[in-house]
Amino acid sequence: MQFAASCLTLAVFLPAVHGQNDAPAGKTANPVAAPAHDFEGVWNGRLGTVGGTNINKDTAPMLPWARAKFDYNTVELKKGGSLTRDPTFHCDPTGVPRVYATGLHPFEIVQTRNRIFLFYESNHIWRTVWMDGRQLPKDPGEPLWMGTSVGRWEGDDLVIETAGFNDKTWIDAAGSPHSDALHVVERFRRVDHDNLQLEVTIEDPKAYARPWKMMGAFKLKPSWEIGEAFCVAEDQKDFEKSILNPTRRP
Amino acid sequence: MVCSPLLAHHGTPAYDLTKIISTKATVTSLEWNNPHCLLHFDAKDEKSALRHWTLEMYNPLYMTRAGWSKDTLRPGDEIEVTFHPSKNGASNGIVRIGDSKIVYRGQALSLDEDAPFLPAGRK
Repeated sequence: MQFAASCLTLAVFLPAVHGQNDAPAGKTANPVAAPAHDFEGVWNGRLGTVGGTNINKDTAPMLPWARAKFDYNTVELKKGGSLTRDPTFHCDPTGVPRVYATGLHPFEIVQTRNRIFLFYESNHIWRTVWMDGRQLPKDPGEPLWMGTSVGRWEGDDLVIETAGFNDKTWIDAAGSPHSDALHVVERFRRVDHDNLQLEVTIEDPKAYARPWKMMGAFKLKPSWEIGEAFCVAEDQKDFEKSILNPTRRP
Repeated sequence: MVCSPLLAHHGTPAYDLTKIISTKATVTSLEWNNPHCLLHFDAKDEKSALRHWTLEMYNPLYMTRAGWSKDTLRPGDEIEVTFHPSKNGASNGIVRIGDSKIVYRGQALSLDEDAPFLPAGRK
């Protein structure tokens, strides 16, 4: 886990190189500057760490309600077993931001005049991000698995705000919970032509004492296409039978 | 710098990542399944008794990007395999990028979606 974490840190905090190759100020010159306000393409990378062992309790300031839920979520993990309490194990939708961390899958960004579509290979999930200037609805209505998203450009950054979630998903594979008050801010920055970084801010006053962040890094994959990776209950049962059950016996 | 996708989506707490087994083996099947491909094989243990193993691999889309197809390995193929066994002694393990290896006909079959191998001469 440390290896993966250090890799991400490097990817995210690579210093920008200024004054070379006539790159515009504030952009990296190497290898090719990013096109402005154009994040289209297939991107592969990770948000935080993938898998069940990146316990967030030290960085995520959990309130008692969230702590109790976290302890319940991670009972199997503490025993060294696999996480069948994980909602995604039973093919529940991932929620946000976990949609970036449910497996080793790329996602695709497609931009239209007033919307951005995010297509995630993992679990075959897609999201609409409204870019027409609207605000998040004051009354979120019926809680949603993936919430409602609006976006805007802040300089060269794409900032997406999402709210209106149900409380059934996990924030990460470590079992960090959230309430229906979850508000997620995704800030995408295309650091150069081939690299996209993502800073996620988790705000949930019912679950966490203060906002906290996760970082991700993604690489452009021009030759890749998004494939079909539905979560299928029957497949999960087979996997449980052939791998999870034999390996979790004491 | 290699950014290793180290873990399966359900985590790897069941596997002993500090332990490595390397062995010659005979493939009994390659299951091209979601959420993970499975490699079944027979190998002799230290007492020359035949033991049947099931290894967890990446999902089919990842394996495809690394150069694999469901026919890359077939029943009866002789391989050398390096993997992490389960902690509890069950005949299960995991292969993953970085410290695992599957060699067939002298060729290491890539587990890296950024560095696919060329198919070993047959479809």
